[in-house]
Amino acid sequence: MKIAVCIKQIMDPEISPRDFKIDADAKNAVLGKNPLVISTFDENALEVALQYVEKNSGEITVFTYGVAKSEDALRKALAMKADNAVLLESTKEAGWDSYQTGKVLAEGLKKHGPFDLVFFGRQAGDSDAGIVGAVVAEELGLPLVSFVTTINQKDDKVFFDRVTDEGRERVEASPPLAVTVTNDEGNTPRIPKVKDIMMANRKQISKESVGELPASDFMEIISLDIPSSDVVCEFLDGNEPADKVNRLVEKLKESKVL
Amino acid sequence: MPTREIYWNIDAHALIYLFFAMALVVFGYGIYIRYKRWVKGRDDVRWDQLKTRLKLVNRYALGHARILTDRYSGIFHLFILFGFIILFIGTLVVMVHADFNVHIMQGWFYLYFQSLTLDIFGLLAIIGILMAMVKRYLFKPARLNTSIYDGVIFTALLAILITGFLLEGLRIAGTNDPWALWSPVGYAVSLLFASMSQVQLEFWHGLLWWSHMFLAFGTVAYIPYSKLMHMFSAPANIFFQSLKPKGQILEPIDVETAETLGARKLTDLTWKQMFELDACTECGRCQDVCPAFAADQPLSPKNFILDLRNHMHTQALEGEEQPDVVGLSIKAETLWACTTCRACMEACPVFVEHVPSIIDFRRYQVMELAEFPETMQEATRSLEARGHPYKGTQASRTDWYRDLEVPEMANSSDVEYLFWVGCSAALDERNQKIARAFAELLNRAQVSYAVLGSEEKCTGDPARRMGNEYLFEMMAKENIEVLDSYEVKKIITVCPHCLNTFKNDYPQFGGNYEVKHHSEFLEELLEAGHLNISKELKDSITYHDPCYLGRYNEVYDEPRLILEKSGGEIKEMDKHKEESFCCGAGGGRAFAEETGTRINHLRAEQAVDTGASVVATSCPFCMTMMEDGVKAKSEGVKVLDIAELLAQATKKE
Ligand code: SF4
Ligand code: SF4
Repeated sequence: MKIAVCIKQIMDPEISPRDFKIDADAKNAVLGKNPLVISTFDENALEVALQYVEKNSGEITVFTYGVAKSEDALRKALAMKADNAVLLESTKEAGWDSYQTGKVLAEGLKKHGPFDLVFFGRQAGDSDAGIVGAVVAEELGLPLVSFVTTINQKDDKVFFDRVTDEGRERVEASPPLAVTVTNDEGNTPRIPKVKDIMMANRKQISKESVGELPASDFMEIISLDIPSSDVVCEFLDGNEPADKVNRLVEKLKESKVL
Repeated sequence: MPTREIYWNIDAHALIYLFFAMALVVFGYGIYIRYKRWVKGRDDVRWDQLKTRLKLVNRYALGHARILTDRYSGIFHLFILFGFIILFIGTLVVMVHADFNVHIMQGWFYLYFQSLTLDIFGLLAIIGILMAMVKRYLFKPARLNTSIYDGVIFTALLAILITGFLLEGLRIAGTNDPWALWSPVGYAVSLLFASMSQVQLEFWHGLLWWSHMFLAFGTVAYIPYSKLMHMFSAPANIFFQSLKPKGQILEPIDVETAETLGARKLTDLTWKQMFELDACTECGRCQDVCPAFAADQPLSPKNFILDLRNHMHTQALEGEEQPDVVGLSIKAETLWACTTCRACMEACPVFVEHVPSIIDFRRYQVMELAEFPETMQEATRSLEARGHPYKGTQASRTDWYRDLEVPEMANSSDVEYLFWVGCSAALDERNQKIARAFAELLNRAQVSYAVLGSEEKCTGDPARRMGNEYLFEMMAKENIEVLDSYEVKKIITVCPHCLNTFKNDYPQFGGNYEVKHHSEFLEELLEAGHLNISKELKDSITYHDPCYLGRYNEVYDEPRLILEKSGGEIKEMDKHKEESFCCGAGGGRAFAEETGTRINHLRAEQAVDTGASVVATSCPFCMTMMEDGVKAKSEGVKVLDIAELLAQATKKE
């Protein structure tokens, strides 16, 4: 089985809100000294792929589209024991245009493919758009299984456990396929072994320049800012609990919550 | 001239040399099979600084300095040890006198030493053994496990002593010894035989003489096959103990070249780590002081050592096919329960070094297998990505001084001290108050200092104690680079873990600083009059010694002095200073879930039981643990850092 996992390097979503700043002119978040990590769902996707290969067989190639620094994300993936890594290198931060990202990835996958399974996180930890997987599936003409937590193989049938609004569902599908992965107890990303980290640092990463792409007409950011919210706290008077409840109900009606 | 007939009533006594030689062969063989196992460990030099080592042997082996911390046990052990040493010398005297023909066993020496002293020490040895038996069989302290072999040893030793006195009595009665009164015990025994005929006396004497000899030689031969082995291995282990600072118990590893990271098989340990397994006397003192054991967690430092010993003597120690220690002889969960508090190492009378071995096994689990508790994995990820061990914190390192006058290194010049805040005091909401209080005190005393602010990162202490030496080394090197770029020479910190890392770990990577804990620094400021008490505290305070400040770096007095000078009345807990009981946070345990009783609840109970109204500590990790524990025990008791208390006491009206 030839497997591809597409990952994205993002600004650590766990930084303090005070360290999160936006450059309104550039219409982008300011990285500053904040750390970079692999987007969480992408790590789950890689873990699902790794577990699949361990149980069956296959070769995993990780792809990312981003600036030179994204190499760190690929090294981490290699340390987790992906076999190869491809950096589709742009000279500018990739921005928020999922459609464009999807097209770049699709080109890369075509060039190195064909792949039997192409994995994505269900959505990126920064934009939370959840579009790239579907765009790539479309571009490559592959069926898409979304919100997958685990993959099992019996004989030559592949089963995908997925999360739906109603609960869980098991789907049988045959590769080639695109898959988006959501988090689950069973796919918590592994901690790499030190020997593997050291090996990963010595591995060759294939880098292909995609230059600076013109903005697509798929989407345009008009403005970007951090929403502000106010919290007002009010104590309700009243001697008896019943008084307080009545007053609370009134207030809630006033503010149209009830 | 006073003396006695030697070998009275004994023919062919020269045969004893033959029997003794046989006993020595069995003895030697026993030592040899142990030796062959010890030397399979890795190299380590533990014989430098001969004079210091001999002094330690004198103090701790002969002087019993640690054994005597338990009075009763210490005293009976002294009786038995010196009893047998003196009796052994007495036997040598006989040999020199009778068989080497150097006549020393006569005159005053015969009377004072060979008769009187030997009798007294023989009696003391008997008393010692009886005391030991009372303790083991009647009081049955939980720290001792008793097996049939203990009975064998007691019986053998008692039998040697008793047959010795019987022999002396028979000889006195049989020879009408004119100096009999100089051997008071022997003389008293001889009275029992007053009615025996000469023939009977000689018969019994002959029989007992040979029995006494066989018992003694048999016991000598048995030594290396039993717990008695400790009579040699324990002093040797005291001799081989680490002479490094107490806080420096971990050695770096060369990650690039090391064959195995950490210990998988037993022989991945050093010869010393293997040797000390045979030095353990099974006294259980380590277990008695272990907080994890007290909290019913799956760790007893004594069993850890004994399980390894068993492994050493029953498993193959050759080649790569040797079995993994963890899984077979030690449970993984045992490794993770240790808080690295060092209480066991401080209590062990023979200086067994438990913690480095525990960490060596952790290193393999973490670095080679990547198998360790989930919550510790989270902390590791966070350390890697964010430079602090907390998952999901909303704070940034500059938050705590947003509204305070705190200089940053990047914008200052000619600063004398770097105030290293540490992750807990910088990022934990409660503990930010400690950083604030200390900064206020520094400002009040007009100290030239600055902080690194957002350039500060974890020292790597949790990574190192969890066994991730690779990550620790990277973090240490990165930090040393930052410190070098500001030419930092002097560091003050409110965290004992950071203190220990700078003081004892970083020198291994070329980072050398003058490091002080805030308690030491504040005490100096008070002493020099840079801080003045304006409002006495008038509280009764109990002080919890953090392990990494106390046992690791021997700072016990300064925090107490600060509390006293601030007007506090100190109420000590039962377990304090060297014997302090860990709060449960060390060794990466702050980032692990606890099973069993929670250690911090046990410690909080001890603190609350003193009746003090304030629990003081001087470590942000202890703060988190103690506050949590105290809250669960008692409403009114406050938990405060010494900096917070001193800030109150020196506040300008
Ligand atoms: S260091 Fe502390 S927790 Fe660990 S074994 Fe020793 S006494 Fe127990
Ligand atoms: S390790 Fe030390 S303290 Fe623990 S049982 Fe052995 S001798 Fe006693």
